Amino acid sequence: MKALIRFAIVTLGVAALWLLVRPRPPIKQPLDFDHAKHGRMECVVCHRGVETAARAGYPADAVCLECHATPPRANGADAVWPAARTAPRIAWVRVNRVPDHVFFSHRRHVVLANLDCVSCHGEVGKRSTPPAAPATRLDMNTCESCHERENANNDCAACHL
Amino acid sequence: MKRAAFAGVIVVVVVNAFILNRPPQPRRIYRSGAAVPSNAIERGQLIYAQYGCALCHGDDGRSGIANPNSETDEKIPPIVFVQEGYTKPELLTYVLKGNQEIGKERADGSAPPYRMPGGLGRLNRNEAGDLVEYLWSLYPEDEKTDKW
Repeated sequence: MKALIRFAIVTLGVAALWLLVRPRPPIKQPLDFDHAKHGRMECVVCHRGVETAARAGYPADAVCLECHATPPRANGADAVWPAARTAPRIAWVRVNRVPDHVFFSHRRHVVLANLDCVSCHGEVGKRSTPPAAPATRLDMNTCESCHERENANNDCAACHL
Repeated sequence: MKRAAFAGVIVVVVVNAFILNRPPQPRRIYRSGAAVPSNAIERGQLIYAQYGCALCHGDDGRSGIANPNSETDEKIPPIVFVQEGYTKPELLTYVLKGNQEIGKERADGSAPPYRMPGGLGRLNRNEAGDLVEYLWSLYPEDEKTDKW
C-alpha cells in the first residue's frame, strides 16, 4: 500500500512539474508573414505603437493595404486578406507577453533609452516565416540584468504595479 | 530508495529539458538611431531607407520591381526622373497622399498588386520635404547636359 502511495505521489509530482515547465505550443499566425522581405523597413512602420505606446502592437489591415492591393503570395493570405471585405480583421497572434503585474513600455525603451528592437527581439526581422515562439527570453532575470548593466532603475516599483 | 532515485532522475531530465528549450537570454544592447544629418538630402536618404521605399523602387531608385498590369510598364516606376514629371510641391503632395488606385495596363485585367503608400500614416510634412529633396537629387548628372 505504502509503495502505491509513494508511486502516486511521485507520478503526481512529475506531472505537476511537467505542467509548470512544459514547452508552450508553437504560435501560428493567420498568414505566413515574411519579415525578411519587409525587414529593410523600420519595425515601427508596421508596429506603430513602438515609439508612442506601451505596446508595439500588430499592424492593422489598413497598414498592409496601403502597399498591397491584392493578397501577397504567402500561405494563408488569400483566406484572411481583408480586401474582399468579407473576411474578418487579420487576427495576428501575440508572441511576446509580460505578466499582468508587469508594466513594460516600448516607448520608454525605444524612444528614451534608444534601444534597437533587436536588443530584445533578436533577429526577427531576418526571418522568412513568422516566429513560432519568442526569439529571446524576456523574463525578470533578463530585465534586471540589463537594467543593472545599463544603470537603469531597478526598483521593484519601476516595473511592478 | 531506487524509486526515489528514479524520480530524481525524471525531475532532473524534465527541468533540464525546460532549461534547454528556453529561448536565449538577450545579452547585448543595440542602440538605434543614427545621428540625424544636417543636410536635407541626407535626411531624405535616411527616410527613404527607413520607410522601405527601396523595397519597391530599388536601392538607387532606378529599378522598380514588377507590378503586373500596372499602367507604368507593369513595374513600379524608377524614381530618378521625378523632376520630369512633378514640381516639388506636387511631389510632396504625392509622397504624403500616395496613390491607392494604380492605373491598369489592361482594363479587363486584375488590379496591380502594389500601391504607393501615403506616408504610411506617420511621415510628417518636414520628413516628406526631406524625402522630396533626396528624390530630386537622384536625377542623373548626365541628363542635366543638353545632349540633343
